[in-house]
Amino acid sequence: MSAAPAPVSDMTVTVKAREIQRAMLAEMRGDQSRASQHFLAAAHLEYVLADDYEQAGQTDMSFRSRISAASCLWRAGRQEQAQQIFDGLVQSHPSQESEIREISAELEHDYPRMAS
Amino acid sequence: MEISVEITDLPQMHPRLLWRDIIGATAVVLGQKSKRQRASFELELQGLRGFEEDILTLGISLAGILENDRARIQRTYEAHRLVELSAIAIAGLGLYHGGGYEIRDIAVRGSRADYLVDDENTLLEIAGRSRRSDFENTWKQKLRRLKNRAASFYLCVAEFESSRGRLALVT
Repeated sequence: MSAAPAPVSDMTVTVKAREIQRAMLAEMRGDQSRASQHFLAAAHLEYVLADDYEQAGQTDMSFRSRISAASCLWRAGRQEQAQQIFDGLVQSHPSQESEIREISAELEHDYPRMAS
Repeated sequence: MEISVEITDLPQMHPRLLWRDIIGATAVVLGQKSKRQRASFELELQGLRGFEEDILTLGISLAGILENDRARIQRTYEAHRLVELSAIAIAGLGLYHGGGYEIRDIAVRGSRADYLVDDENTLLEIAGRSRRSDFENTWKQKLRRLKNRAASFYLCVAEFESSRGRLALVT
């Protein structure tokens, strides 16, 4: 007997959406430090959701959550980590390479990497 | 169609999102024109089930918002941000009263939209403008960008000079 697909938690989706909202509101107020904290929280929740969607057989949603996790990490200042996720997604979803490259280019433009 | 709405009911209409700052910003923007606790906003609806071509006049009560909230929001957000946030409130009210649609999540970056609506995760793009003269150009620009990206989507553009806007489901 195969196990039923695990349901995706509504609560996790809601908390994640609110963390992104909190981050965006903080950005609007010019409070980058607080924005980063909330983007990081959202990125971790998107990771959890990506796995949950995968388990539930919702592969499109899983892909979307991984893109969002990378975007949140980028906006939190973790550009290298985000880039690794984008690169991994290009490998695993070659048909969506142009979309992934477009998103990372947009992030690069809007949130340029700080010189190390 | 004309209806009376309470701005503070937005969290019940779209319970997954945070509304406090959005409600406060709307009270600041709409309250600047009408010194009363009530403001009117005319929203043209297009393509929404049961409201294919209709004007929804929202009589918005701004009561119940703490003065502290208003002052904090006015102090911490720039004017164009307040307008952007107010447009989200207008979209939220329009979607709820234009057919019971619910904003459920934030759209992923790169989708050219801001939010996702209902279980179908239909894209929703929202824009707020302070000047009436910017309205049509903004509408056309957003429409063109989204048509390149999605087969169906909601678009809401609100302008706060004459308190008018348009909300469409484009398929």
